Amino acid sequence: MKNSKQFAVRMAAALFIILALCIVLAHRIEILLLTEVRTVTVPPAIRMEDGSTVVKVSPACIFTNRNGQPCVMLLQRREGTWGTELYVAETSVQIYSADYDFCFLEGNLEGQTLAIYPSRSLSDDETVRCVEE
Amino acid sequence: MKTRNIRSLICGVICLSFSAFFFFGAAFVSGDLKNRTPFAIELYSPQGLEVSIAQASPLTERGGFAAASPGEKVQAADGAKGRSVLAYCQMTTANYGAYANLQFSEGQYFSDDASAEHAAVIPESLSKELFAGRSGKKTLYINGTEFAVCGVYKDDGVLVQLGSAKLPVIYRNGSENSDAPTEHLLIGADAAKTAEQQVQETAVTMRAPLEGEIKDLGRLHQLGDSILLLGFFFAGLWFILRLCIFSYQKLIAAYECKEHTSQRGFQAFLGAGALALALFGFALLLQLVRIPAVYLPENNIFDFPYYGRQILRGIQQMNTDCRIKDFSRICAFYLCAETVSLILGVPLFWAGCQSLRWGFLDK
Repeated sequence: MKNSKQFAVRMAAALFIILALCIVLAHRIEILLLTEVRTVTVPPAIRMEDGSTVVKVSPACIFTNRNGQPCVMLLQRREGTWGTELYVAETSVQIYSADYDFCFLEGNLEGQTLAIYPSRSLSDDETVRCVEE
Repeated sequence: MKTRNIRSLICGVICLSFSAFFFFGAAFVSGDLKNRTPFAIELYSPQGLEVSIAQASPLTERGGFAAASPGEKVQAADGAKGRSVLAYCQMTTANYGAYANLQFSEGQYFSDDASAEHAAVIPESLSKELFAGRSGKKTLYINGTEFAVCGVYKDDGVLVQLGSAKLPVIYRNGSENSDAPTEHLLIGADAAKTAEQQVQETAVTMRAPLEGEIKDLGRLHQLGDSILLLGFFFAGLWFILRLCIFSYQKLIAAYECKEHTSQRGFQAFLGAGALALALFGFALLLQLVRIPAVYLPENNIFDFPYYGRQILRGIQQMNTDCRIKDFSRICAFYLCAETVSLILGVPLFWAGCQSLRWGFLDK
C-alpha cells in the first residue's frame, strides 16, 4: 500500500513537471503558428481635384470580404491571456481609384497600421504576429 | 579523485571539444552560405523573361536588381599560345558581380563604362589554365571574339563550384543593341517584404510582366540562422532537463523526509526553486526557435510529413540537373551540411555534459 502511494506521488510529481514544461512549449508554438503579417502605416491623406480626401496605399493592402467587397485589415492591440496581443480588424473601404502601382482609398485611415502580405489568408478578429516584432 | 572520475572528465572534455568543432563548423557554413550566395530574390525562367539584358541594364540601379542571360557553351582561348578551353558564358549587367557575391583575386567586375568595349570576368581556374605565369593585360577570345579580361574571381572550393556543371563560368558585358533575353534576375532582398511583392515592384519598374520561378535566397539565409539557433536550443535542453530532474528529486525528498520540518522545507524550497528556474530557462531557450512562417506547416506544428516533404524537396534540388550557377542548389547543399553538423554536435554536447557531471560527482 505504502509503495503504491509513493509510486503515485512520484508519477504525479513527474507529470506535474512535464505539464508545466508543455504549457511553456505550447505558448511558444501558439505564437509560431499565428499568421505572420507585414505592416504598413497609411500616409497622410491627399485631396483630389474633385475635393474628396483619399489615402494612397499599396494594392496588396486591399482584401476582399465575404460579400466580395473591398476591405483592409487594421492592425490593433488587445489584452489576451498572455498579455498584449495583435489582431486584425476587417474594415470595409471605398476604392476611389486603383492602378497597378497604388490604390486610392476614401475614408479616414490616415496614420492607421494595415496588415499586408499575410503568410496565409486573414479573417476578421484573427490574432497575428508581425514579422518585424 | 578516482580513476573512473578522471576518465569521465577526459571523455567529457573530448566530447565537448568535438561538439564545439561541429557547432563552429555549422556557424562557418551558415556564414559562408551568406558569402557565396546572394541576399536576393532570384526570378528564373529557362525560356527567358520577357525583357532583354539591354532593356534591363539602364533600370538596374533604380530597381535594385541585376540580370543575366542564359548561358552558352563557348570555346575560350588565350590567343597567344592557341590554348582553348570549353566554358560557359553568360551576358550580365554591370552590377551582377556585386549581387552574385563574386570575390575577386584580381581586378573587378566590369563597369557600365566598359559597355563600349568587350569586357569579361573569368574564374581563377580558367585564368590559371590559360594565362599561367603571365602578367599584365589579359585578352581572351570567346568563340573568336576578343574580350578584355577586367577581373578574375575566386572559384576554389568544392561547394563554390556547385551548379556550374564543372565548367568555368565567364561573365561578359552586353552591348546596347543586344537582344539577348534575361534568364534570371537577382533582386536585392528586403526582409520586410515578401518575394512576390518585390518581384511585383520590379515588374512595375521594368514595365514588363515578370513570370518565372521565384526563389527567395534571402529567406534561405534566414533559414540557415534558424537552423543554427535550433542547434543551440537542443543543446541547451540538457540543462533544462537536469534542472527538472534535480527539482523532481528534491520535491520527492521533501515528501519522503519525515524527520525535521526545517530540512523538509528546505528540500521543498530547492525543488520549487529549481522548477521555477527550469521553466524560466525553458521559456528563454524557446526564444531561439525562430523559424520563418513560410517554412512551417499551416496549422499543425507536429505535421512531420510536411517537414519530410520539405527535406525531400531539398534533396531533389541537389540531384536535379544543375544550371550554370544554381544558387538554390548551393543553398540546399550548405543547409544540409549545416544540419548534419548540428545533428552530430548536439548529441556530443549532451554526452560531454553528462560525462563531466559523472566526473565531478564523487561516486
